[in-house]
Amino acid sequence: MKNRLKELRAEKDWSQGELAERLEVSRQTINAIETEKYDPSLPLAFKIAKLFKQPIEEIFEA
Amino acid sequence: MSPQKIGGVSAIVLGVPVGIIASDRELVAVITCIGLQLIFFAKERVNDERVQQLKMKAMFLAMSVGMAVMLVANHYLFVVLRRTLDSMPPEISAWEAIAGIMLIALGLFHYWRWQDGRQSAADGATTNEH
Repeated sequence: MKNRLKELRAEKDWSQGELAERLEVSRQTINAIETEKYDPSLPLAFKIAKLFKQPIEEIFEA
Repeated sequence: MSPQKIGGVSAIVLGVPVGIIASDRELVAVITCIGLQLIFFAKERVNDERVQQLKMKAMFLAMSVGMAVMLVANHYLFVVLRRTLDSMPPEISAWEAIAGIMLIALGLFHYWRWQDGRQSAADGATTNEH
């Protein structure tokens, strides 16, 4: 699933590690989502949307 | 390392030599199977959803590959070899099959986890490089 996670992270000037810490997941998970190897679960997607204050559909594209 | 993993490793390290010394193939297979299961199903240090997904994926692939290998191996042992040998060749027991599957699953899980980590490092994950 395409996503804008890397772009949104760049806007906040966060590293993958920092973002992972805020979302309480591993850095590898963030990397897997950004490289589109892995689609996050619904709770995690909601967490990401809440963190970046954007609707889910603005971040993830099916 | 979690207590469960330590238990699994200990079971294999201590139990397998005992089984080998006692020439008890079944015992070796049972201990290996139990030890590998303890190791595989132990909670990881970082236990997020990606880890759980990789474990499930590894188990699924290991079961499929393991079953296929078992079918081919047993066919080869029983049908093909039996024609050429005087006595019945040893069959692969269920315990040995499960131990093989667990080994494949563990290998796959750790390989994919390593790939994730390597990719993460290559992308400059610890810096603010975007």
